[in-house]
Amino acid sequence: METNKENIIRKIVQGKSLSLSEQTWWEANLGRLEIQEQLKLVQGLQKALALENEDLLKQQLQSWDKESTASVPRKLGRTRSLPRIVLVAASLALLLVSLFWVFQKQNPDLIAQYFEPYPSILDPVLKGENQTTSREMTAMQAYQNKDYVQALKYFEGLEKSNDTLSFYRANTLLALGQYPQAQSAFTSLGDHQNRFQKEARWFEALSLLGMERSSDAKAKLLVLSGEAAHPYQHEAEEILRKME
Amino acid sequence: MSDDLQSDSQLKELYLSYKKDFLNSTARYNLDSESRTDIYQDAFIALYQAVKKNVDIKKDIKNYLFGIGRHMIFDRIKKQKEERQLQADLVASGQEYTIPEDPALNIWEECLRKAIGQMSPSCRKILTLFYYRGYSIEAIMHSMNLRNENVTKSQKSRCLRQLKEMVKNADA
Repeated sequence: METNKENIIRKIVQGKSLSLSEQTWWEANLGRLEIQEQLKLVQGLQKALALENEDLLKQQLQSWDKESTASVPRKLGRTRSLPRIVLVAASLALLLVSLFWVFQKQNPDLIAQYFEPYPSILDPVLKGENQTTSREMTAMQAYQNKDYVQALKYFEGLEKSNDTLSFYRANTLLALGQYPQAQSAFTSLGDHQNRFQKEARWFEALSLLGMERSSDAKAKLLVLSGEAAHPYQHEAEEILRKME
Repeated sequence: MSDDLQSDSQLKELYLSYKKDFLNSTARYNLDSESRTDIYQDAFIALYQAVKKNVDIKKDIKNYLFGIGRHMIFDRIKKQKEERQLQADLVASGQEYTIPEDPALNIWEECLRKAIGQMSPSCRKILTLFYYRGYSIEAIMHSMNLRNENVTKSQKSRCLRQLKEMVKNADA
């Protein structure tokens, strides 16, 4: 009960919604002095921890700024041999070529290594939906058989508001290398509460890799790698290490 | 915050990768580069917290970061203008001018914050994960490599008790 009580107070402070039984408990106990004191403590802790952590991060950012400034070599004099514009153009060309090569090579490699279409849950899909049509069955069957071209054809004609079907459709798009469409679908699934919300955020990161948006992919992976209970936490950590 | 990051190096890379672009794109505003760097840091902290709290970031990370940063720049410029105006008015009326302090925490909360700063890193971490990040006991157990949920619960209770004691002693 102790933990339940704390959880309810935490939810209240964080503005999260309560279940019916939690709401009932909260209304019955709200007036108790002990509960009010605990509420005050949790509110104070949140504020104080937020500021304490902001300060620590700010110090960390400042030290990175110092490091990065110190690591830039000082200019001893002008380079005489080539005009500056030629050097800049050459560096840019070199950078573009290397980026092209790195993206061409690294991102598809990583996707190939880490992307595995989410296992088909044909039966639960059917169990969960009251009016499963034969078209849904056919789409899922094709997905299960890894016939993604056919699967997409059937998924396209289906109800877009069904999160389960949308998730498998997005996986199909990713399997077919249609990264922007996959990313958009996964972003939408990651935006609201549904059974695949967490998984969608992982696949969204893979789609961003496919789109060569490495910085954005890294940012997403960074968040996943910090979530201890995320089903793809280890994979996110691994992929980030490989991208370094 | 940073002591429980999975990988500081990735965060550092992300921070540095957008910095130059941010400073360049905001160079036209009437703020020196030191102030813009300070704002970039604050915007990055806001982004970090938003992401950790699963705030819905509709656009991409860069848009979100630059959007927050620009708002912060406008706020600072506005505040500077207001302060200059206030200063001019006060000088004209012969009064002294002092910058008002930010009343973010009350005395008790400030005490709490000081006590948190004096705690061991593991206690700070467990309290941060539970009360600030909203982790479950199970998630904390995995994140901190603790033996089981009971150990995690009792360590959290011990740290909270210690914190309450520290605040009580500071009050006395």
